[in-house]
Amino acid sequence: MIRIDVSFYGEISDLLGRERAMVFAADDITVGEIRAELARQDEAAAVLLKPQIRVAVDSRVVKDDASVKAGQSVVFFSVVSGG
Amino acid sequence: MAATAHLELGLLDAGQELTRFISGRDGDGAVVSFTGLARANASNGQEVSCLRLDWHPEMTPRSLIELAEAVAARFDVSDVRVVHRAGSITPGEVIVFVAAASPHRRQAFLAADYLMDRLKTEAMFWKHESGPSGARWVEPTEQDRADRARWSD
Repeated sequence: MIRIDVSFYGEISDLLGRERAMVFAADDITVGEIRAELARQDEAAAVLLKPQIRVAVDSRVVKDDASVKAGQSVVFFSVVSGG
Repeated sequence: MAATAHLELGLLDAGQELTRFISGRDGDGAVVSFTGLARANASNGQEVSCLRLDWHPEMTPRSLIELAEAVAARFDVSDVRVVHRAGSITPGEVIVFVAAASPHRRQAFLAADYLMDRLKTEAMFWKHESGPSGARWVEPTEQDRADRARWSD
C-alpha cells in the first residue's frame, strides 16, 4: 500500500482544491492510473482526463506512463499562463 | 556569463534592481532592462482590480532560472537577471524586471526581448484576473504566442 500526495495548480484548483492524499493498494502506480482513479472518485476530477492537463512527478513534467512510488509528489496543472 | 533569477513574493522595486545590476560593470558597455507593470485592463478590455499569479514552490523558480540560463547561452551577454512577482498583484505594481548586460548594446537588447517573449509564454505561472465583471484564468494571448514564434527556438 502506498500513499501519494497529489496537488492541483491553475484553473483545475478551483474545482479540485490544492491538494489531497491518495492511498493505493499497489506498490507503484502510473500517472495515468492516478488520473483515472481521481476521475472515478470525484465527478469534478473528470477535468483531469483532458489532454491539456499536464502532470509532474517530484516537480519534473512526465507523461502518463511514468510510474509513481510511495512518497513522491504528483502535480496536475492547467495550461500555464506565462508571466 | 551569468544568469540569476528570483521569485519575489513582496513588492518589486525595479529601480533598486537596476541600480544593483548596473553596479560594478567595468567590462560591459551596455545594460538593457525591461520593467513590466500589472495593467488595470485585461486583454479583453475588462477592468482588473486584482491579479493573482499562482505558482509552484519548485517548478516556478526553476522555470525562471532555466529561461535566464537559456538566454545567457544564446546571446553574447555577460549577465542576465530576472525577478518575477508571484501572489496577489495590484494594477500599477511592477510584475517583472529583466536585465541583460553585454559588451555591446545589440546583444543586450536582443537578450532582454527574447527573455520577455519566453517568460510571457513559458514561465510556470497560472494567472487569475478578477474585477467588477467577474474572475477568469488567463492563458497566453495570440500576440504572446506570435511574439514567441518570431524566434527560431
